[in-house]
Amino acid sequence: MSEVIVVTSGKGGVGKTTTSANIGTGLAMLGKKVVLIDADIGLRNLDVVMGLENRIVYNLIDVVEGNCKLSQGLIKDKKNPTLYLLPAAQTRDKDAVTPEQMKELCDTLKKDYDYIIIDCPAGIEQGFKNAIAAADRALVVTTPEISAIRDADRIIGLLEANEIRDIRLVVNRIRFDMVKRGDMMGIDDVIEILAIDLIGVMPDDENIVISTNTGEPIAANESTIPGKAYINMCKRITGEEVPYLDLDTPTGFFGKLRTIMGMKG
Amino acid sequence: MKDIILIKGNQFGLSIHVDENAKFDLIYEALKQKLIDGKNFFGNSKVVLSFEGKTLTSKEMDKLTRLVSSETNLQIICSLHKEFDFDSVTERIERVANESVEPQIKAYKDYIEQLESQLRTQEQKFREQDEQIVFHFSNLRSGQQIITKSHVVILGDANNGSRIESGGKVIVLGRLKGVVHAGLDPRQRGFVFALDMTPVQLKIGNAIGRAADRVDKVSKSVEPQIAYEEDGRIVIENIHNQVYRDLINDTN
Repeated sequence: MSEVIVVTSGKGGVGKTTTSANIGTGLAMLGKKVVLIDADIGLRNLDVVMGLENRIVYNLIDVVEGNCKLSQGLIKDKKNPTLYLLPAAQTRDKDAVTPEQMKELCDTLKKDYDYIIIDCPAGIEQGFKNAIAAADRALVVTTPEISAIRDADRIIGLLEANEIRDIRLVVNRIRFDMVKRGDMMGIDDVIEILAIDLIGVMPDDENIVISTNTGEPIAANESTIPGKAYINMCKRITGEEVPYLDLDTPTGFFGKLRTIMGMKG
Repeated sequence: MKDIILIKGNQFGLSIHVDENAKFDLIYEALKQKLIDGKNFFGNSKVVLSFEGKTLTSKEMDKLTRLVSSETNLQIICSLHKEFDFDSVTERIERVANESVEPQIKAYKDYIEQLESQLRTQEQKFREQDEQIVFHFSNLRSGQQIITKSHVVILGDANNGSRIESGGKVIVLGRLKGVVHAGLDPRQRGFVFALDMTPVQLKIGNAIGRAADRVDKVSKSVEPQIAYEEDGRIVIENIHNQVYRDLINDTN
């Protein structure tokens, strides 16, 4: 059974696109057939994060308007043969697509693919409405900051109003050292406010920034902690129960030393 | 000087705005002058006349309608005041519509239907508001709001960015972090109760209180609290028996 999953957040810059790219990569690595759709028309980024910018010939608008065949618009990933990207147009704006067209597109894609991941633009306007129109499930990405959480809360309300019942939470860019000091909200605090189930926690890791810049999603690199965390998140998306990683690893020389000496915590 | 008469075109014909304070004689003369000035402009199409502004008696409206038909070549299908009653107009339009299927009339019928359905939903809203207590059975999320004349009970949190406006009392069986305005109705003595009282802003009656700008990092122990208005200021205190006793005395 195939599913349409929208990755959304309300606030910009919390990591929707990075999350979309990595979930797409991770699911493809688990052997699923995946299409990533960039719904951020006019401000496309997913192609850059995937490192597929130079392969774009046609885009979402071309497909929707019938300027090309669907198969022509889909760009195959560099590494994963079961992963495809449908990029957004950069020269148009959000009004160029209607929710009905998105639904139609996703219905067509559902026949051939297991997962259709939609990267939603920031905001709650037309672009958001387009992105969620076809969605069966939603992943709400937030960072442990008041402003991001407040926007996530609004988004969850809107998703519920649009009868999307399966809404899961991704807490991005958490810094456990700050949480410990009481300078940042912990995961429990975030869940308590938003009152939805967690599906993934992503530590604030510079490797994610590096991988984004090089156009190679970190999920492909399972030896890193974020890579592992993304793969675990993908497994949870497929319905598998995976325990959360202990991301609370001490940093710095003394922290590591304490771990070695068994004095953790 | 302000014009006594303003004539505007709309999709069904002409709307004539009449100055609220003008006497009828003046209105009559002003309209006549306008019609004579713009005789060629009006042409000879079929129109619905609607009057706005000053409430006119049916006799007065008749007089003005006759004036329009005598001074111009317009064919008047019907005339009505903006605050007309629907039934008589619908009936009249239906009668005319049966005689000739004018697209204009059909459009107008649709317009009336639309207005009526709007009225119905409005009515329903009011009926809901007449209920004594409004319950909300989940978190009130950012951007969601409850605005009602009745009391409000939230079984869940009222999150940051949410808004509650109540004529009476507000009870939040959870955390209150949004904006609340209780006691909008001056006859009611409003209060706000929450299991964790940390609203961004509280208004009770005419008194406004807001959260402290600096929040101490040390988390205080959470206790149910009640906020009420006293001498134009908002008082928040922990729940204890005396508070309940005072409340009972107040409501009696």
